[in-house]
Amino acid sequence: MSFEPELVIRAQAGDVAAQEELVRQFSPMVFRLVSRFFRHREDVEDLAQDVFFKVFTRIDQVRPDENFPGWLRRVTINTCYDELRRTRRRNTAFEIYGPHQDSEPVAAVEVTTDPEDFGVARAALEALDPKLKIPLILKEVEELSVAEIALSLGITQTNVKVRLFRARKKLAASLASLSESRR
Amino acid sequence: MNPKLDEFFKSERSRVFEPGPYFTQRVMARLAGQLAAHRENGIWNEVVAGARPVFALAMVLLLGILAVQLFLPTMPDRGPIDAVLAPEQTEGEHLIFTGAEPTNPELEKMIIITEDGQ
Repeated sequence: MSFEPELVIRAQAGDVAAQEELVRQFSPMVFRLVSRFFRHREDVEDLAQDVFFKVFTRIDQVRPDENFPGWLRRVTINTCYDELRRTRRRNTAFEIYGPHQDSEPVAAVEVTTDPEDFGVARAALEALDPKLKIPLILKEVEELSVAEIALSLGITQTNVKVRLFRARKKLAASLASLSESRR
Repeated sequence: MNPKLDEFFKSERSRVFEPGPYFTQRVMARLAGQLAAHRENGIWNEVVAGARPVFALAMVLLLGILAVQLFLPTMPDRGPIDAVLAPEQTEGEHLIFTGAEPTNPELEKMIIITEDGQ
């Protein structure tokens, strides 16, 4: 992607045309990243808007010589992380305080309705803690290197490796138990 | 890794949403509205959400102290009767202002102390 750092300088000065151009250039990248973590188009669009709002309220923090796409990726991932944590808290609260249902658990329902038969894997991935889920998706789906993930998440490379190891282990365990419950 | 999982991740790579044709306009419209609100809120947005109650309490206390300082009159050190009864000048000050020679070394010492104090 050809990107002119001058656009960022103009956007920092409040140039609306430059801001619009940044949105136009980078919205496919933001959409692709957010799509990795959320499955509904409305959620993806809302989060992408949140990302750009954050970007333009904090654009003064970007130095013109800094890698703007890298910074934008960090903002996007952090926004997704915050939303995943909020969703997880809401779901946990619902499980504890929500109406009790005698029906099958959600994961099992997803398994039977998934046309591609990836329902078990998807449910296992959904059940992962965002701290583990994000590095795993960035590595396996987004195909980022450990160094890039570390930079994006603001953690050390060792920490990324530890999280990846734990994520794979947990994923394998919950995959096994979900497959078991499917039978 | 599990080959089934590899397949799953491969399928996930192809699952991508593209921005709609009016996405940019929607972002810019939302941005215009929210940035205006953001500017109106001013300093409040700079404070981390968790620290806002502490910040608000600190501001209330600060303003309260300032109000007390401004509106409550400060009490004089001595009352009107004390002021009438007390001599206007000490013996040392009297000597300094009149230019008279001190009559004893004790008084001279007192004058030096008074001048040093000033």
